[in-house]
Amino acid sequence: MTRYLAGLITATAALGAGVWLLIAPYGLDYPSGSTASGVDAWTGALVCALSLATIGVWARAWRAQLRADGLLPERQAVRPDRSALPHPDEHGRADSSDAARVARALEEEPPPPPPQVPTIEDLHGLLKPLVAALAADQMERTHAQSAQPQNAHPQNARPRNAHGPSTHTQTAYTNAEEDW
Amino acid sequence: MSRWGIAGIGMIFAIGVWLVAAPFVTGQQPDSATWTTATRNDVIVGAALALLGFTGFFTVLAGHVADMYAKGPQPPAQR
Repeated sequence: MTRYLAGLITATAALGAGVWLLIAPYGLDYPSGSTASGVDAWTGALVCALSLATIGVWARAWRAQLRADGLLPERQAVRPDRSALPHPDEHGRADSSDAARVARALEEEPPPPPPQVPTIEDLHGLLKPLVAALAADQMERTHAQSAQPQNAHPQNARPRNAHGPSTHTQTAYTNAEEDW
Repeated sequence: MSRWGIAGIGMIFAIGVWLVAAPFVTGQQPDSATWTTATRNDVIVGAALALLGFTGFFTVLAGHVADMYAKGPQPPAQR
């Protein structure tokens, strides 16, 4: 880091000296048209140009070093502008050179990420409780119909699901889960 | 990249030396005469530029060597 900073400071100070050389003939009242005026003006212009170029070189070198050290993000690649793509004519055809340019532009684009497609396991996980509930309900109805004569007496009747699911319901759940 | 920067600093030193010598080389400052304002200005600014270039060159060189020490020994280049 020291060398880049030293280079930038040196070049910036030299730029100040160059600017002073440019304005010195006016500030110090040199005789007009004298050799000293010409020498200072030309030398000042040269120093200014050289200093600006040196500042640019040191700044670019420092930036490249920072990128190489990972302190600055990498420069992103320029993506093709879709608005610059050619429009087809009235017959719906594009120029062959335009088509080649479009093909190159599309080749340079990175492929889009693959869409998230649900797997069969996701589908099973979603449908499993529904199917189990349907099967349990069906089995409970079937059993209730077959056992209806035994529950003819009101003192033996028990409301459905009064104390949670019946034994048949739990069996149906288990069977349905095993089937899946 | 740094070579161009070092070359620029060396040019600044050379321009400073030229600016010190310019009043006498171009003949605008006669020998054995009191220095004019332009001569004084050129000599002072030229000396400052030369000193700046000299100091900057060796500071950049010292920074380069310090970076080499920080990186440690490098494998020999393949020929």
